[in-house]
Amino acid sequence: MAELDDETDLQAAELALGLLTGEDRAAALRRTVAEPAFADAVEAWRLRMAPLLDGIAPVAAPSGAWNGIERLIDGAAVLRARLARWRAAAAVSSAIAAGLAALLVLRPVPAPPPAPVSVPQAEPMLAQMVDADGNPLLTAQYDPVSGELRVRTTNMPEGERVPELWAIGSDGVPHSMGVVRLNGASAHTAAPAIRAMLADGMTIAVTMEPQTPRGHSGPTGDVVAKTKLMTV
Amino acid sequence: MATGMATDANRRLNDEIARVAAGDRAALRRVYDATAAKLFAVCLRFSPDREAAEDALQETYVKLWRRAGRFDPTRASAITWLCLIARGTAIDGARTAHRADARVSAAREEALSEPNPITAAAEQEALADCLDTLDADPRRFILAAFFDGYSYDDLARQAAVPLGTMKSRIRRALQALKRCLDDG
Repeated sequence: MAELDDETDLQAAELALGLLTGEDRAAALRRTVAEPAFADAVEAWRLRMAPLLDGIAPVAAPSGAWNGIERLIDGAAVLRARLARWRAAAAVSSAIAAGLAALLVLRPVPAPPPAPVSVPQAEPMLAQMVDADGNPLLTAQYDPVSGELRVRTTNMPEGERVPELWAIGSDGVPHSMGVVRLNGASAHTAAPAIRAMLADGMTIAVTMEPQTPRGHSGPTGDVVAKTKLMTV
Repeated sequence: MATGMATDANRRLNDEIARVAAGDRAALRRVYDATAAKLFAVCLRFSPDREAAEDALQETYVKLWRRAGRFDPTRASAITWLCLIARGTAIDGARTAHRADARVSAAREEALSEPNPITAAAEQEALADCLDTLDADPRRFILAAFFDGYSYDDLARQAAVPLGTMKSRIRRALQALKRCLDDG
């Protein structure tokens, strides 16, 4: 392994131990992606400290854990196939649109610069929620490339109120991802502010809220279920 | 880096992970049966509550399913690698759920006297010996960071010292720790 300078190796140790927060942590995480030697140094520090984990005595895993793992893996496989189809379809429709535009535009107009959207990661993400008995409540599929959020709810309480999805950011504040269809499927494009914050491991919660077209500034109902958003 | 114990159990687990990398779901189940109790204990140790630990446990095996091909048996034993994934997953979960306040309030000295289920006895002794060469305060700070997710900010606040002071004390201790482990 190449010898790293002291400063770099210390930064690797700080990341491996969890000492860094905020921008310092983000900068170190970026280095693990950009510099394999740095990622190696972080891994080496994790391994140096790993014997500390030996003192942790085993605890029987909860009985439902394996079923949950299989559900997550199967859900991810279905989503991967579906996303591949969506992206292929989107590519075809934009090619058709481009072809039509070429026919219809008679004189050149200055093309507006493309609006850059901050996409933290391009991997599709999935959130699945179940009730206490393991019955499905909600499946949310998010494609960071298109920003499309597809949600299906089942077994939710029928009544006046509708499900509303919340992304809970690192500040602990719930941000509305919008109202979704009660016990059915719906799709919409996530708002840019939400797109910028959606990331692997983020908590997604659902509450029942009074109907409004645009969602609320904060939840008023109890949390029906919550889960983590995971890349697939 | 030492490869850890070259026991039959380790070799079996290494082989199973190679099968998981090839998409063998039954092999994943066998790895789960062999490791879930240890990994759940690790998840519990680094999660704010049991529910979060259960989530972290499931995520750990989903990550194994997706990343088994990245496992390098020359760098670490399979169980060590899995324990580190579980620790990282549980800590990330606690961080994104912003439940730092639910973490234990006092740093604990962790016993290193247990038998060696995941790393070789020699590695455990070397780390314990080298941690012992550090001053009590920086040792406590390093263990608090490792076990309880304390950041520089948390530690400086708790010890009521300026952030820069805390940073340089821990950095000096980390350098001493690395020198000691490399020489050992």
